Amino acid sequence: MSDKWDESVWDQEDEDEQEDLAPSHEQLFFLIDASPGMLQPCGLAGSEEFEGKSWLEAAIQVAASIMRQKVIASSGDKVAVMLYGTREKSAAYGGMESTWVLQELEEPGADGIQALEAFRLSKFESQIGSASPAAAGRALLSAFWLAKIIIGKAAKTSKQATRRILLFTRNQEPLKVYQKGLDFSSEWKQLKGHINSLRDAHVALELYPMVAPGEAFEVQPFWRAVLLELRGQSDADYEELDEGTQVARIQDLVTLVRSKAHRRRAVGSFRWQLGGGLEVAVKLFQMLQPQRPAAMLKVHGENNAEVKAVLTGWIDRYTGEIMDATGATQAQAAPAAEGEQAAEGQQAAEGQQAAEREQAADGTQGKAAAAAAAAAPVQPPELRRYYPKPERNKVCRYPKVYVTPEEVRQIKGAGEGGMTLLGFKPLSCLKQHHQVRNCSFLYPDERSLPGSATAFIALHTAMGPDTMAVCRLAANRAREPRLVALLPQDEAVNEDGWQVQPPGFNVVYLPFSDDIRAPETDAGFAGPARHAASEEQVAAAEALVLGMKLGEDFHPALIQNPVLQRHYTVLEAKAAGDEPPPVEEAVEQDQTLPYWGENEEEVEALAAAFHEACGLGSDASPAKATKRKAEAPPVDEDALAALDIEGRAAKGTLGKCTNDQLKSWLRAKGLKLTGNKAELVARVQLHLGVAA
Amino acid sequence: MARKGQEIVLLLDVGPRMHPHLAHAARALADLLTSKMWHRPRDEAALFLYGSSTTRNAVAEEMAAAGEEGQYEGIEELHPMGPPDGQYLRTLHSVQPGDGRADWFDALAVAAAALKARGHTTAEKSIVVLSNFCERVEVEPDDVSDLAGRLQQMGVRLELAKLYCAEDEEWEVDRAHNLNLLAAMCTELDHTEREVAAPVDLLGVFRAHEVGATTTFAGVLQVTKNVAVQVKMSGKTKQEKFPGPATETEAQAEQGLVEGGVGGLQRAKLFKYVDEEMDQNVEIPDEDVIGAYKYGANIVPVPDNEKEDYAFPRDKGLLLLGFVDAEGEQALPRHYYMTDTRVLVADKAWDASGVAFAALVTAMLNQGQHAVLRLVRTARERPQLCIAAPVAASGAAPAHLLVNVLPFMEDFRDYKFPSFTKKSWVPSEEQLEAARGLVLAMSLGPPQEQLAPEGTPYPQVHRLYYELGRRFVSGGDEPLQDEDPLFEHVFAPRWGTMPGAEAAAAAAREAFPMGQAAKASRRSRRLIGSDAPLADFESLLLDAGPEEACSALAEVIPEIVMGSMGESKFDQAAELVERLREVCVTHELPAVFNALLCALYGRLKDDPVKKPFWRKLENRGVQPIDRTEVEASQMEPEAASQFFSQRHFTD
Repeated sequence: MSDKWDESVWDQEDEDEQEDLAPSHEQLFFLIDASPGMLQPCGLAGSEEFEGKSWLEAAIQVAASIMRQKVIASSGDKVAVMLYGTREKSAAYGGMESTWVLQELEEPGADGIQALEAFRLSKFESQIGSASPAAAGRALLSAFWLAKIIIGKAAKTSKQATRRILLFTRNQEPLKVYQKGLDFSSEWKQLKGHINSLRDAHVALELYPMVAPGEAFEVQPFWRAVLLELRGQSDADYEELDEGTQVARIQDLVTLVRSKAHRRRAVGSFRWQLGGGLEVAVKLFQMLQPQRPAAMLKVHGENNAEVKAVLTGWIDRYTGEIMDATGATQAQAAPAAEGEQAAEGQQAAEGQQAAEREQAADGTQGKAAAAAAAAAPVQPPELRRYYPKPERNKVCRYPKVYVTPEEVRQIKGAGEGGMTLLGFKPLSCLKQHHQVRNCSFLYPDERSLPGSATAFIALHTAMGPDTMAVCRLAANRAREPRLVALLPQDEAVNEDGWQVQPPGFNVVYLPFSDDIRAPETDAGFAGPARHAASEEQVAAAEALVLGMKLGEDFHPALIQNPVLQRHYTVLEAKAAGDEPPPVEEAVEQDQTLPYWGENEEEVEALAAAFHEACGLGSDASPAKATKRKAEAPPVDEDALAALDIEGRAAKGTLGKCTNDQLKSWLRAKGLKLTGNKAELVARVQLHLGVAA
Repeated sequence: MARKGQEIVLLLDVGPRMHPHLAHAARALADLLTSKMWHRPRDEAALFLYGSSTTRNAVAEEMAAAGEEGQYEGIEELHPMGPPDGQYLRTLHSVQPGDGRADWFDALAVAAAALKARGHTTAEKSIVVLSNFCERVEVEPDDVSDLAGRLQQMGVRLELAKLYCAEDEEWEVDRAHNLNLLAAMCTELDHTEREVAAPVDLLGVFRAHEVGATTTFAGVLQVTKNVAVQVKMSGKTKQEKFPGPATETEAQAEQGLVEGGVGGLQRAKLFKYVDEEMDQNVEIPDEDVIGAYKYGANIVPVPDNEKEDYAFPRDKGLLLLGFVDAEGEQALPRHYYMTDTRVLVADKAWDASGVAFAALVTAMLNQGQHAVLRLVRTARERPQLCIAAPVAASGAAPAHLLVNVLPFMEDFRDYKFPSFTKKSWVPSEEQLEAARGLVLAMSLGPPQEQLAPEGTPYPQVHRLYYELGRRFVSGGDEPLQDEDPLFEHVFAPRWGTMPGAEAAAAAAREAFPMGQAAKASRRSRRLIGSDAPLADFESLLLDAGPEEACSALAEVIPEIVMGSMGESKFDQAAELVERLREVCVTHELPAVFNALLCALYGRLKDDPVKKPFWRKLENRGVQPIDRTEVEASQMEPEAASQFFSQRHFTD
């Protein structure tokens, strides 16, 4: 999963051990019904990405998009895509009847994604085809059986993974739960068997009923029973799903992929002390996770096999010596190891060390020697810590003071995780610049401490929309505490009943006074002037502001990061062995550029009026001539001739001229005017070809 | 551009009325000097006490030599102007209270003389005074103006660190007198003032790391294709990192490093294959190793000449995308802000831009708008989407925009969470009252805002400075203090300043039982008890209405069934089911009743002891409410009639 604790607030240079949530991966299984009903046009009109597609194609499009999202999140998660209710069967996994594996369970790659995107109904009908609707029950059984087999296999290698089945179907009741209204049907009993083993593997099921908006899909009597069983694992990090999150409808791809590509995972779980001994359990989530292109790996240039750096020992940064675990240098260790050849060995080692020192002085590492020490233990020798950290070429007058790592931790106040309520303030106290990093989201954790939700909700309600809470927060014991503001957020639901904003608190990390600067008050930066705009100028600006209002459809969640998109477009092309698209295409698709479409002329006219009103035309040059060199004074030919520089140069008496005289001659010749007198004289001589 | 050095005279009030606060005041000055030693090695400082029991300063000596004894008394020069070092810390850690007259005016005159004695230097000059200004100083207005003039002429900046706390109330009159004098003086002088309201706040009055305004972007704000305004940008917030210690080995410590040398260890590494089968202890030379990107399962090597292929063109610049509402439904939420904040001002070198920028800021304020910008600060940086909020011009600052970074589509995580309306979670009216009480009692202002970011120092780093100072002064073996007043002040609830807060918290503690108690209380909160459930239901029906009464009864019926000794309460429960059905039909609440039947089935089907209750219902002819009875029901009549037969238990 890609939701990790963002260290940007707690960034620390020293190598203190940190408690981190165990990395865990996710395995997604797309089970897509391919029975005849799924081949009908989906009728999701008005959504570009599904227009004119069949339900089957739409489902596969969702799978491909989620795979692409997984790649960008560089999560190491695996995805499998399987069709069920097919006429043909694929050979994979022993060829289960009525199933077709489109993508094996593996990390999604460029080929896989492109193959899914190239999926077309015509090809499907000729190569795979649908089974008859009568076989729906058997097909679903096969699908769950197949899922069970694959998961069983996967569970052997990756125990930590969490698993989700994403099932796309139009069939409300693929098989009867009861036979003759009394006994369980034999098909249901079989299915129940598969479901039980999936439940034991903590698999969660999400159901995507493929129905058009307004069309009903009854989860009763069949699917609700299946959903109830497969709610996934619930532990410190993950929560059980409920039916609201288990059943999702495809309406627009962007929202769906964003909300379904990642399973909700907490980045912190702790108690919130409300005072007087009252504490509630809460969990912290990252609803915003800055995505950047993933860091580079290292490979061998010849065979492209991944390589890693292995720690082989330690280099003394001061002397460049290689050390083993005890802190003894190689020179000291060598004689003991090599017995009779001690003297020789020592000599060699010393020679090597000398080379090392030179290399260290050059700023390069002693790699060759490090290789020799490859077998040495890699425990670091005992180190002493002190303040302040010396900087190269910088005098430090602060005395050297030794501390232990434990003391540093104590000073930082680490060791007490959790959150403490300090008080409440009006929301207006939170200024625009009270901001140091992206927010987190806080939600009660009723499971680990019953009663938490009620207390949390009571406080949330009591605060109302205009109050914030200030708290001390250390997400776990290893962190140093910081101050945060909790901003209440009410639940918001769109017209389809889909939650667009969850209820809880947004956690804003507050700066300290030591983090806030005031460049705007610095005359050197902002200048002493307080320009006042006239009424006319403000009116022009207001017209411009209103004319340039962005419509309702502007939202950051709809704007792609052009750098990230370019990076992955190129990467995907290269991974598939194709030529990357030209960079101009990326620039053209850049959604961060201003765009006024038809209104461009209107906006430009308003801007021109603003330009005119504020006299921006006169700003072609700066108010003070700081940016451009002063105009050169006109050359006075007569005065210059009177100086007879050429004559003096020939006589070698240039030194008697003043600097101004020399400069006026140099200026007339278009030469440089910098330097002291000797340099000016030399320049004249050089230009005239006169020897110094 | 290289920064000029600073010459700074520190004046610390040690007079009788400062005695209670002296330790904090001395620690604050030690912070200031530590910050200079760490970050500004070119700065020099002189340290004077005033209100001291001893007199030792150049001006007094000069006057004495001229025959005017007894002038400028109680002012003691402890360190003449020079680069601060450990000795200054030693002095500040052992400052003694004085019994002299704390005459800040004389002290300023002495400080001015000390700066003057340095002759003409390019250094910036300043005088820092730390006091509560409670010792009344009588001085002629002419003298005030005269000294202010002299300081102004010398280019001296006055930095006042004022303690204005309730403990000093008794000297309010004297303090007011002093502050008026100071204010008169400051009108003619370049100065800064910092005021703290509690002695402990003194500990953070000086910043741990003073950072000047650095321009991070200078260029044009492209309003439209043809219109641009010259602007400059600088950082407004930047998180101060806790400094890490340096390391050295025992050997390095013994030998001692040459000045400026770097100690510690570096990791020695070599490359090996990740794949265990390929590994075979093969070492791969550095020059054979190249970078690669991972595309899911694919590994794509990136030779140096291909790195550029991945780049998106990054032309430095600032583009205006448009405007959005600052408040209301269309506004972008505050919690979208991603990193630190920057300040955007008009470039001071361009007059018309200054006017245009001011007009734009005023227009945004008038229209309640924020600007959306696309920023590429340097040619190496990624484009960022930003939101800019206007701030009107004031005496201290010109009109400016506060710029925050927005997320992109890829950064959003759309997690869903259960609603707060979940029945078992909803707090009672008493609980809401307790929560409201807590919110009211634990107010951090107004009128006086506490824990405002501008007035709340980063306590960890100030604590570090103090502890290092103590350890140095003690010779290196002093253990750390268990607690730090500043740390406590910032990170612990301030019960003392919030009357009634402790009582409110205790009340909340009572109102919100946790763990098993919470579960029990939820049961006891049930509006229908198990003793006389039917009677409770009927009265609730009158009091709270059918919806709440039916829901409550639907919750209580399974409890009665499951809690029944054998089958003793089955009949009672079955009657309740029948009564509930009646009411649900009358008041058109089919879902409540049908959901109860489903819930009962779920709980009974695997319970051999309770199964007979299901049969009892079936025998009594209970059926779900179907569409023909109540239109709102989702149940077809056929399904309703088959409901029990489809859920028949075989024992």
